[in-house]
Amino acid sequence: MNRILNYLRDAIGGVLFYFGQTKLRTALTLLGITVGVSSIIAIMTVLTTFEKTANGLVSEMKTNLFYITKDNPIEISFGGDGRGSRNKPPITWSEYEQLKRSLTLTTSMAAAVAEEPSDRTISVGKNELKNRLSSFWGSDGDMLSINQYEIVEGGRNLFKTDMDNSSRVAIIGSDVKDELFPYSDPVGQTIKIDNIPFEVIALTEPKGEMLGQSMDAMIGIPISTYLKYFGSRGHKRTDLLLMLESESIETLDAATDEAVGVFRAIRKIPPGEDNNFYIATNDQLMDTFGEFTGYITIFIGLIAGISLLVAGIGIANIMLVSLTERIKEIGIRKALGARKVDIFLQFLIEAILISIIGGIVGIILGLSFGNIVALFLEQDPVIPFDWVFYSIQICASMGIIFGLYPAIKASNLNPIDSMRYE
Amino acid sequence: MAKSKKEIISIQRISKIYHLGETVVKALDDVSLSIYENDFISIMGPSGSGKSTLMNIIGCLDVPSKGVYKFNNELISEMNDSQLANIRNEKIGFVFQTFNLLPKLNSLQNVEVPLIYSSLGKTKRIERSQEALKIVGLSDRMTHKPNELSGGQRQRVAIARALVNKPSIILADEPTGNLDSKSGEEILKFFDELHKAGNTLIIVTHEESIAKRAQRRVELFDGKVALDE
Repeated sequence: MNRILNYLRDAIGGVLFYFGQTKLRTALTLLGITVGVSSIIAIMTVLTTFEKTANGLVSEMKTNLFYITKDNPIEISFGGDGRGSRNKPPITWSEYEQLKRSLTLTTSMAAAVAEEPSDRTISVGKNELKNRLSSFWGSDGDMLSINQYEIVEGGRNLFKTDMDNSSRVAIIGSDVKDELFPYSDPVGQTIKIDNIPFEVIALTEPKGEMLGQSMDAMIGIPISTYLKYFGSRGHKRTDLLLMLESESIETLDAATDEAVGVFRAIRKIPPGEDNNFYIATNDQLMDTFGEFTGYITIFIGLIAGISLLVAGIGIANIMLVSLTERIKEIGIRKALGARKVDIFLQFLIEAILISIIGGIVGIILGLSFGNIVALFLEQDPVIPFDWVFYSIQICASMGIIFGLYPAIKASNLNPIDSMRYE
Repeated sequence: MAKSKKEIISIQRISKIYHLGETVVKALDDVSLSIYENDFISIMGPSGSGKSTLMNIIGCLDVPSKGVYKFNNELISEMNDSQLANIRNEKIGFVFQTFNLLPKLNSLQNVEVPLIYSSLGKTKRIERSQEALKIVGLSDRMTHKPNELSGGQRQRVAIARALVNKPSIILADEPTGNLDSKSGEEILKFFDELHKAGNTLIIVTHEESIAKRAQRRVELFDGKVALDE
């Protein structure tokens, strides 16, 4: 045991000394490991914050909700190729109404259409909104409570009569208010959307940013009004998002099955052919998200793996250089009683120390970078402890793998010849 | 010769043969030698006579091709690498012509090196090393690095390092070869003192003046013992 402690002390002293002597060379070797480890840690930090946010959202969402959309929304928003979407028909108002009449296991149902972002011109008098809206939606459901907006006192939510009459009423987010009604209460005033006047019926409390997007540059109107004034081709081709709710989580599977069956019947899809729409529960959305983060992890893992391999070769190289510079030292140590295993361990410990020091620098850089990104996206800072732990392990194994050959070579040196080496 | 003394080294008919391609070189040819406790021996001979090879074998840095070498009755000639390393560590104190100190370590750390490879705690290690440096009169140079010391002082650090594990023999290879005559004389005086204190010394040299100080001299020629008196 004392021997091992002796080596450790000796090796740490040796490594620190060696670093001091060959600052640039060591720094360059460390750079490889640092880049590899910091990229792993940075990405894992960002993904962890995303996962935390997504999990938070889902835990607040009702789990007996499910959706029918043209495409998988997560694949779209995370850059799916969208190949399928061109061939898929939009989900139309008439399909929604047929579905509504036929479903028995679905207790409530709402449709929404959303432009995210929207390029509509929003104006009050001569003032135009400078930034585009991050969301302009129409719905017959309670979008405010689904998306967790609070109405500022004095306003009201959309009513069923608004839908029935296709009323020109609008709910606006606080960004819209700040810019267009800076000094007055917007409720009751008129706002123009593409020059069509709407009465503001509610202002929502500020929600801040999510993933770099303001949640408050938002306007919502009744879906019937949307289809009437903004729908494409007389609203017949406007693509809808359908939100359905089963009675309870237990009947969710049956309700989704029923919805798929009925919707296929409405669209007259022959048996054996794939659905030309997408149906998702909140759990599935989370799974898709998880799948997506899984791909990123693999991709980053690959990049990090390559950079770590290069770094490892760097370590092997620096250890071999260090070996040739220290042949005499090894000879002297052997003459004074160092066994093969002593020299072997000395070199191996040095290689591991170099890798771990590089790794720790990488972890610090990665955590800083990842959390700066997270902060920028208004996420709480996190430390992915599991990945910090893996990184240290990876570095230690790299030290072992790439330090092995130089260590064996050093341990096999003959003391007589090496002592004479100059 | 005091045959009643304990025999430390017993070399019986050893040979060392090197193969250099086709040619066979007999560096040592049927050499026998006994060394006793508190001997002060000089091993002499012209270069190529085999004295370095003999020293390497006595120092357990190498093993003979033929013959029997016993150290304190342990059969060295059949030991493996790590057993040899342990013998070198515990029983033999080396002093080299070029000092062979580790340049990055200070005097104290240099003296500590052999103790790193014996299972000794850190405090004990430092105590013993300080003690050894005191014996060679360098208590005031413990934190100096080799390049901050004179040649004589470096060799004294090396001697302290040789003494630190309380070895059975001290093996010196041309210990004054790289020193001016004054420092060389100091070192030799020091060897006399070590001998008086009961240590066993073997000095490999080609200098007559050094050999004269030894109480016994062995001369090698062409790999054979030419003289032992």
